[in-house]
Amino acid sequence: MAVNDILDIGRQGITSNQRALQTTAGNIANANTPGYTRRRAVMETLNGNIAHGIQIGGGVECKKVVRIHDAFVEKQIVDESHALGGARAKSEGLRRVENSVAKDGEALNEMVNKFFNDMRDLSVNPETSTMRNIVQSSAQGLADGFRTMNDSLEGLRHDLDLRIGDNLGQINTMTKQIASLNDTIVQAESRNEIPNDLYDKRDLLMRDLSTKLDFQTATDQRGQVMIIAGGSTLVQGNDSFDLFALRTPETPDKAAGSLDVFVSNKGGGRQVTTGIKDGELGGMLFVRDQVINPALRHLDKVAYQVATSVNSVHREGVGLDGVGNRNLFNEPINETGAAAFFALSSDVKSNHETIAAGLEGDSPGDNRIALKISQLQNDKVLETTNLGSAEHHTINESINSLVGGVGVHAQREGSMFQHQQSVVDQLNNYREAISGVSLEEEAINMIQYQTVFNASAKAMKVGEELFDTILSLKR
Amino acid sequence: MPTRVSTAQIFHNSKENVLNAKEKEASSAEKSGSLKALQRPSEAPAEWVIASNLKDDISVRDNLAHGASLATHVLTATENILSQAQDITQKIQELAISAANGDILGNNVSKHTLPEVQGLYENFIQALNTKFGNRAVLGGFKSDRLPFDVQGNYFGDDGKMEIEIDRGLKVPINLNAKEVVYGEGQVDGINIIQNFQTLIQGLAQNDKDLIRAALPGLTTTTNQLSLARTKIAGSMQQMERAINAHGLNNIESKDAASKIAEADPVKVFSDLARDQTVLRAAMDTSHKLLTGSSVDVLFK
Repeated sequence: MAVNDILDIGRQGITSNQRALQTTAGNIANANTPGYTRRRAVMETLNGNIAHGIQIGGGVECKKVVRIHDAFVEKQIVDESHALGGARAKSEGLRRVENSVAKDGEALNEMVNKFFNDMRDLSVNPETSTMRNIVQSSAQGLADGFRTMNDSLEGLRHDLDLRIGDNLGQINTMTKQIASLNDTIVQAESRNEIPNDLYDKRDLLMRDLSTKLDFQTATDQRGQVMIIAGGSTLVQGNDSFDLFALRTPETPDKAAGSLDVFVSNKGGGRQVTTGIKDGELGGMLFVRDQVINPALRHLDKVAYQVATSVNSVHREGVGLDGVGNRNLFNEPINETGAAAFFALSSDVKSNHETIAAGLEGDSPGDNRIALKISQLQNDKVLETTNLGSAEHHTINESINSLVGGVGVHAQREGSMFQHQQSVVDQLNNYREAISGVSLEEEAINMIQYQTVFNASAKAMKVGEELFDTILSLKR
Repeated sequence: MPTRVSTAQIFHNSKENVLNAKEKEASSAEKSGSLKALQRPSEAPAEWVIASNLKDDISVRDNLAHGASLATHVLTATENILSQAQDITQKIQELAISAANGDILGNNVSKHTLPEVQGLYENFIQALNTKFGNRAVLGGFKSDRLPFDVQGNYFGDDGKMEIEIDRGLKVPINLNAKEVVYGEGQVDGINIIQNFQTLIQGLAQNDKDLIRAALPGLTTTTNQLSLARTKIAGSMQQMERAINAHGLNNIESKDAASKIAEADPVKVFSDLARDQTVLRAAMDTSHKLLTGSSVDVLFK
């Protein structure tokens, strides 16, 4: 009946626009929610009736509420976020290493200069016990300088291992959530629902996860996301596989006792450290294994060379007591740990008069050993390989090149981070342009839907009045 | 086609603009506070390394110059000893000539000259035993004891004490007493002390032949001491040249290091003023964007 149709059409107008208003209100409320994708109510005309050869519309229906998003842009953001997370972790990590190494390196160089200068002064005044006391003090300062720089670098390495452990915990939480969402989404879709909120949550988790580590994704026929990192599966369907860390022996790329990353599987675990190149995890591993460890090895090399070359000359000479064949510093067994264990020999530590300035006993003016030791500062005794060719450096030059090397890394990664930040910002702006909520737009939408809501209510009112009129005809 | 701008984007971009301007301002403030152009190696790694190497070089050169300066004093003391020894030798020579001629004329000058010559001889030994600080200058490596006794026996050694005055350049700062006093290794060298003792013996015995035999030796003594003084002068000149060279090099190095490491105050403060202006502008712009929303107008 026509009057009923008017009421029905009015009702549908009200409910459909009410849903549209709800959707708009939801958009407004979530304007600042991270990861929210604006919704749009999809209105469709209902099929009407044909009466007396005239087709009359059946009203409107809010068919569904859909997300406005671009899957390709989302994927681009995820891909570029790997590099951003990696660059950020490298830049921040290297900033800390650089500050430490610059400060400690400058102090160590001063200690090196002081030691050799004092040794040079001893060569000018070899008779005095006071000069030997001064040399003992500056040698102790040199030992402290090596150990301090070593301890700072090892402290940073240990701190990175702690952060790696924290990072794994966060990654595991996210992968579990993604796996759970996979399952929930599939169940919702099986009920013909469109779980926009769950899609948003999963996309946000993927974006957050992408800054943590680099991974590849695939979607199965049910729309479930699969995540593979370091060649191992982290998420498949509603299953997630945790990452865990263990302290393992030394490898060519990693120091003994540092953490290695594993993926848990039926066999226990599969090592994936070398497969993780990007994201914060990859960035931290890079700083630990490609910057701090080489810096420690470099420092050990310098310490080893200083100790062994000084000792080699010192053993030729005799102290004021006429006794020779003594070391000035503890003789290191090999390069590894030379900086950590750099110390005065027990002879020199307990008695500065055992410091040899000359070759012969009962010859207070004999300064040949002091002179020879002081000249070691000029010798290019440290070898590094640069682009395949060997370069030789003095002790001071080698320490400065260690600091400079870290500076080069920090400069490069700082630039990379800025560049990558710009790339991701641009992609985010593009995503926001598509999926972000504009309050002005929603305000206009709200006015639009409210107007139609009011008009539909008015139509219902008119229909009611028509109905009353028809009923009053019978009386 | 106009690009759509979301509300979150406006807030995000405003925040980023203010934070970036704030970061630049903080960096300029740090530079103006320390007046250091390079705050960390990553700002200019190569220049950081160059500046560090220059500082190390300055430190070493200062030390080398200091050592050379100390050594100059040792050499000066040695030169003074030799000068004194030469003066004494000249006096002895005059007395010896007088004694030799006096005896020819029949006067017993020897008897009266002997005490004076003996006294001068003892002064000569004393001069050779002079210490600089607590170092016997002519003792070689055995510098803690008097090199000569009054009999002319030597208790030092021929140790050559060298110091480094420039990288790889060593210069001796003592003389070989055996060479200077005993004439060892010298063409026509003479044992100065033995010659004095011969003269003294001649004077004591009033032996004019012995006195005359010692006379040529006294001339050789003067020449031998002169030669030693020349060597000292040579070493001192080397020291002076090294000290001057270090001084000049250090001025250049300090200037170069300063240009790298230190900031130009005018530039630093103008950069700071600029960054502060940019920060204020960013905040003003953000304030205008974020307040006075068009939504309020729409919802009126």
